[in-house]
Amino acid sequence: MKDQNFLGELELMILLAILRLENETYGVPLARELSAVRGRDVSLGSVYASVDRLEIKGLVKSKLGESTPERGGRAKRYFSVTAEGLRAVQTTRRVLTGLWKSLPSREGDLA
Amino acid sequence: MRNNKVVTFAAWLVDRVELATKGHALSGDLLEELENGRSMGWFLHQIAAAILINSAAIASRCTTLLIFSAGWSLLYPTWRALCVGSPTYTLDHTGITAWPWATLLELAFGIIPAIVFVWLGAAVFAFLTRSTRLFSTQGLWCALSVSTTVLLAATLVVLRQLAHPQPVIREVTRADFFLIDHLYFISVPLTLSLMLALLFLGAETPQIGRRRGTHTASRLRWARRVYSLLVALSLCSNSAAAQSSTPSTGPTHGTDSELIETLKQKLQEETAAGKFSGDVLVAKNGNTIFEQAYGLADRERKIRNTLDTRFRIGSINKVFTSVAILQLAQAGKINLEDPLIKYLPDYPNKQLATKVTIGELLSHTGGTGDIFGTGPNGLFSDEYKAHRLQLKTLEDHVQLYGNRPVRFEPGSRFEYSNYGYILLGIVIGKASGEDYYQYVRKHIYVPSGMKATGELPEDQPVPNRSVGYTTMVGGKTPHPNTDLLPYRGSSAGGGYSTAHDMLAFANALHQDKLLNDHYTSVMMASKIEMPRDGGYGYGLMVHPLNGNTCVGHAGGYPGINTDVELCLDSKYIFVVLSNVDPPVAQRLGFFIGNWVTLSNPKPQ
Repeated sequence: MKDQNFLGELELMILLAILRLENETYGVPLARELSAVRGRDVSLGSVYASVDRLEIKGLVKSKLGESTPERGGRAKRYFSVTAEGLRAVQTTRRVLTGLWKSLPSREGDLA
Repeated sequence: MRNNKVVTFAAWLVDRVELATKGHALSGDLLEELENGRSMGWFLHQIAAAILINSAAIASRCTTLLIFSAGWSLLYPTWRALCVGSPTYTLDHTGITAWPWATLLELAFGIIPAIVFVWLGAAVFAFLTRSTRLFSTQGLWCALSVSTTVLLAATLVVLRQLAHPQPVIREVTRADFFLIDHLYFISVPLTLSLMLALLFLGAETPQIGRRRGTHTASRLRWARRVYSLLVALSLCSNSAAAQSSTPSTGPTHGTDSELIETLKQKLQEETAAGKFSGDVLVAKNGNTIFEQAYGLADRERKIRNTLDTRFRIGSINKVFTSVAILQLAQAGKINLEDPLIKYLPDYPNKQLATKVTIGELLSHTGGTGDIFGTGPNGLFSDEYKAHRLQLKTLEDHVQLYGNRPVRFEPGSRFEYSNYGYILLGIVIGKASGEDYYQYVRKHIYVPSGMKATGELPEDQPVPNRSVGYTTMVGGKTPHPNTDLLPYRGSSAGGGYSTAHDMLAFANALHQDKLLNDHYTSVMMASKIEMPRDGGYGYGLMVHPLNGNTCVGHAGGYPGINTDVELCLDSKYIFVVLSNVDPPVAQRLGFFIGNWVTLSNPKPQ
């Protein structure tokens, strides 16, 4: 688990979004945040699939919260990034930044 | 909007396909969004996507579990073989013999290894995916009991499918669980049972079967390696099992102690595989160097074969008949060149009785036809089946078959004839003035020291007489041959004896206690070539083997197979008696005969 363990694109985005929402978020705000940043709708199903994977890897933990009537009596599932998750984000950031630096800075050159 | 049936149903559907997410948070989120003013189209789109994603995950997980379960169940024959041996058989000495406990014991022997095998499979899977820490006690109990139930039910169904003609649960033995058909059939429920167990366990373990993510990917590579190992292993074990049915594997020559070791292993394997049940004895220079009983004499009552078990010996009675005729020839009461009619003047077909000589009847060259004939199932003619129980005395056979013409010029060729030996039995009675049965007892059994040999009718109780088990007349599960046996043993076959008695007879024969030196040699000299298998003397088969010779006789019938041979001028004598179908005893007999003749080349 400590070995080279890079994050997928959606996984990284989810981790960042949870961090941004200050580690106390559940599906609805998380998906909205992702949709807003990406500029297009995100499937909640795929968000949950990714979060489940992150939880297995120990990068995210979740706990069940209160259930409200408008949710049909179903509980909210609150997510937070673990210390390990934070390390993974930082590692990915370092690697990505390193890679970006080696590219020409002007946007048009990237095409 | 929330009360809309479509919405409720959609949310319910998502909850059902939800594998890993807890507390149905996903559907809750979607309902909340709908309440917040999202459109119905958006909601249904999200629902469809969630169902698709989760279904794909379930399918992927099920495939992984199925592949693992199928791979694991391929190892079952090997596991089964490992489970046999001292641990299970030590329990047999607890002395439980009464129904239903004995049968329950056999069922336990049959089913418990399968259950343990499934549980082991689940444990191995959990270990490979490192998911043990996530097993809840409840999930574990649920998984184990579901898998056990599936297996129990399936085993009973398989037993029922394979049983013939009726499923007789009282006659189930552990050997039934080793039948190759059983192993084939049971592999499906095994796979199913293991998969169900894993699914139930997996309800608490979200990571099982997930494909993506670098960590799970490496785990999957691991799993693939294990699968290929499992498959390779099982292929090896299966091909080894297939090869063990041919006598070519393993050493075929060596010292006597190597012979005994190899033989022991072979017999244990064949017994465990349900192929052999009976007694084996090997003697060298008159001393027993190996004797052992295997399998059950009575599967219903769970009585084991012992060295005192009486086995039906099939055609070996012909050897006694031949000795008796030669004794009478030695005493001048019979001339082997004389025609049959000299001793049986009232024989119905005078032409046959005038042509055929006593010597020709002894070497199966008389052309007098047979008792059993060949019916549609290749075994018994309708004529024999109709009269089986009416043929009580030797003379009854003449009444039924005495008008038949001679089938070919006597002496011209070999045609195995039980009927010919029935006629010889009557000749013994006429020439000696004694009843055939009295004669062989007084002049052969008693002088040889054979205490347990006899020919009492099948409807009379004979202590320690084993039950013969056959699959030759239909069915895949061996069943008693009781309804196929002749009324009683005769001069052609059908009596019973023990391994010790057979050795006593062979010793008496080669020590010239029964016949003088000259007549013993006459008996053992080949008179005519048999179509296969060497030559035939007088009541003895003569097998040239590896430059040496074995003489003896085999007996075969549904549920009966025996072989007694004297090899290397009687230096080695061996006896194989079994209460299962041919040719297992002859195959084992060939193995021993081949070994001793290969290992003791004749000095040139």
